[in-house]
This record gives sequence, structure tokens and C-alpha cells, in this order.
Amino acid sequence: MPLYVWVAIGSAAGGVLRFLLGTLIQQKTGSTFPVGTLAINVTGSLVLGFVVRYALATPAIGPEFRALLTAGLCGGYTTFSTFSYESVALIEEGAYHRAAWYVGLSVVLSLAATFIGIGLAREVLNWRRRL
Amino acid sequence: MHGFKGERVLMRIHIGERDKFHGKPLYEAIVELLRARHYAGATVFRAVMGFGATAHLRSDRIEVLSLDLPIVVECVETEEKITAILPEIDQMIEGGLITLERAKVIMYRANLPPERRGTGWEMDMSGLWEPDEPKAS
Repeated sequence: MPLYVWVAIGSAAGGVLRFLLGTLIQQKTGSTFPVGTLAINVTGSLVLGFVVRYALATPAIGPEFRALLTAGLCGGYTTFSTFSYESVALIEEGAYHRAAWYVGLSVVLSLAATFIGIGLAREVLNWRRRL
Repeated sequence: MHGFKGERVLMRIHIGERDKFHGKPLYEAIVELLRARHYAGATVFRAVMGFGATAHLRSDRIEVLSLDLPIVVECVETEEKITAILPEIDQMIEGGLITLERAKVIMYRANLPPERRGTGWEMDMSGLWEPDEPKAS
């Protein structure tokens, strides 16, 4: 099976997951600040950081499953375009403070989450080696 | 142009963008029904934000909240005609809100070229039901 089929399976699941989880978070908080997308991008960054480090160090996880998890699942799950649109929407309505918070929080928290994901992968790999 | 000025009823129907009736958008079905019955007119608005009986927030600013924006269908007609159509509209709507208000129609016309419009104030503010001059056609 070509790699893109694995990517397709992963993105389908990731996109649906994002849609359901993003809607749930946004509805539950009742906020007009894009908390749903923010949560999605931060958690997706954490998962990608973990998966890339962990999968590359684990020969049992082949490139097919890696493609499904990274380009597929995390690619479909996180969304840069929605982040951009919602930032522009905030700027357009003159909510510059909220826009700045959204952009700042998205970038800082997503990068931090990726570091944490990588750190977690390292911990799990070390723990596994000690077994 | 038929006589239409005076005391009328404004009906406002609040529904959702994704509401359907027999597979087509509900607001479209309502407008088509009103047009088929020769009602005076109808206007559909799509709102930028709101919530309804389900308390689900909708907003065009948030992607996942923008997929079922509030819709308002407005129609101004005589009380009899509004009352007559309500049972049918009730059957079409799964969830929503309908309000009726008294309205005073001060102008209702299709096409009146400038040369026939005169210079004075021609709107009828009396609030009485006075038919317009029948149009020679």
C-alpha cells in the first residue's frame, strides 16, 4: 500500500477528531475566544513531538504507521489554516488584544507542548531500556 | 401593485442555517412556500452570532461554531394571511422560534420610475388600510 493511503486513513481520523473535540470544547466553554482550536493545536503538537521521537527510536513502528500517525493523524488533527483564519477574524473585528493573545499563546504553548512531547518520549524510551 | 399599506403583521422566524425541509434548506422552503402563495414578500437574514433553545453557541468568528449560523426569515402580511400560513410553517420547523409583531407599512411597491414619483412625500403614514391606485396593466 502506498504511503499516502496510510496518510489518508490517519487524516480522516484526525480531521473528524478535531471537528468533534473542537466543537465540544468550544461549546462547553461557551467562549468566543478560539479555545477549541488552541487546545487542538497544543495537544496535537504534544502528540506529534512524542510520536516522532518515540516511533523513530522504535524499530517495530514502521514508516507506514509513522506516516499514519504524523502526516496523517496529527496533520488532520491540528490546523494552521483555522488558526490563521480565526486570528484574522479577531483582527478584523478590532479585537487586537485577543488576537495577540491567540497568536502568542498558540505559538508559545504549541512549541512548549512539542518540547514536552519529545521529553516524554525520551523518558518512556529510557524507562523501556531499563526494563 | 396591490393595496398593502397600513397595519400589518411582521412575522419573524428564527431557525438554523443547516435546518432542512425535504432535503433543501428550511429557509429556502419557507420563502418558496410564501412566494407560491403570493405573499407580499419575504427576506432571509443570516446572523453573525447567537444561540437558541439548545443553548449551542454559534459564531462566524470560530470555525467549528460557524457551521450552523442563525437564520431569520421575515415576512410582512395581513394578520389573516400570517395566521393562515402558521400551521404549515409549524409543520416544517423542527426547532426554532416564531414571533409576530404589529407593523405599519408605509411603502410597498415594485418599480416606480422617477418621472412618476413626483417631488413630494408620498408615503402614507396614516396607518389606515387604503388601497393604492390600481395599476393599469
